[in-house]
Amino acid sequence: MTVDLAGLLAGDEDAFRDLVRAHQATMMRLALLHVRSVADAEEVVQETWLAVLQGIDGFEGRASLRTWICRILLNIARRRAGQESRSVPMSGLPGADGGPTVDPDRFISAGPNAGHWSVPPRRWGRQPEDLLLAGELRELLGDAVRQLSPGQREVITMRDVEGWTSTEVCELMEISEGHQRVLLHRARARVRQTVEAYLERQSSPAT
Amino acid sequence: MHELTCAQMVESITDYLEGALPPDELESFRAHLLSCDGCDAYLDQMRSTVRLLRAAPGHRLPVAVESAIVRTFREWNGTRADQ
Repeated sequence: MTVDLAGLLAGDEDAFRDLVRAHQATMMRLALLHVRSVADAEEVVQETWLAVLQGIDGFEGRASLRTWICRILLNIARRRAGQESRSVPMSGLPGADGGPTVDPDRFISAGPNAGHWSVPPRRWGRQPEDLLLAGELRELLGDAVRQLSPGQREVITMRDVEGWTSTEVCELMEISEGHQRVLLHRARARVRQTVEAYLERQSSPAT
Repeated sequence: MHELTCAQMVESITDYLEGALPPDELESFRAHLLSCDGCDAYLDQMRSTVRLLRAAPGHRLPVAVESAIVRTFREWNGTRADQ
């Protein structure tokens, strides 16, 4: 990271291009959580690099360079999403912001076994991975993530799609570890539920 | 050690996967998991969900946009050199 930055400050164009390439996929993905079109996301990335260069002297190295760059990008993308509000559907679904993440009807409601599964989950095995290879699940997963609240969307994308650590995600979003876990939990539970519903439809085709 | 219901288990699953359960709760969680096939399957589904997300396709920045960004760098670098 310090090598990248030293190269940048020395005006090394190749070092800068490497940096742009190294971060392009993450930046596009993060931008697309907030803006609708690929063209808009590309503009957000462009605007971000300009802001990064203009602010590079203010980079104190307390966060990693990529966290700092992505935080600038998030601010730009969020602001743009606010301007074109309703650019991405908000989740109005139950369990999005509070309450249980699994349908209470799945559990026994009274008696000595209250709180235990009445409709237990079945084992998926390799079925979802096979459907993913066949391309069927991709769109569904993308839609499921887009329908989450903005915070849930950001956390699940950075943790599970990009593979960032919880510490990095907390730095990026300026939230606590506990809050990060709550957002991740709700987001994963919601996506799991979407996959489960899809697999059920697959195994019991409409008659 | 207190017993957990399945309804409580599913809400602790992320804390478990994140290694954030306090020792006593971790013990209860593991004990339940050993004796409950439904919760073990649920844990599998959550892990599977994470694996599925990892395979999400991405977008590449078009060459024209990359070039525009590098031009911005050149201009920025020029202004700095002047200072």
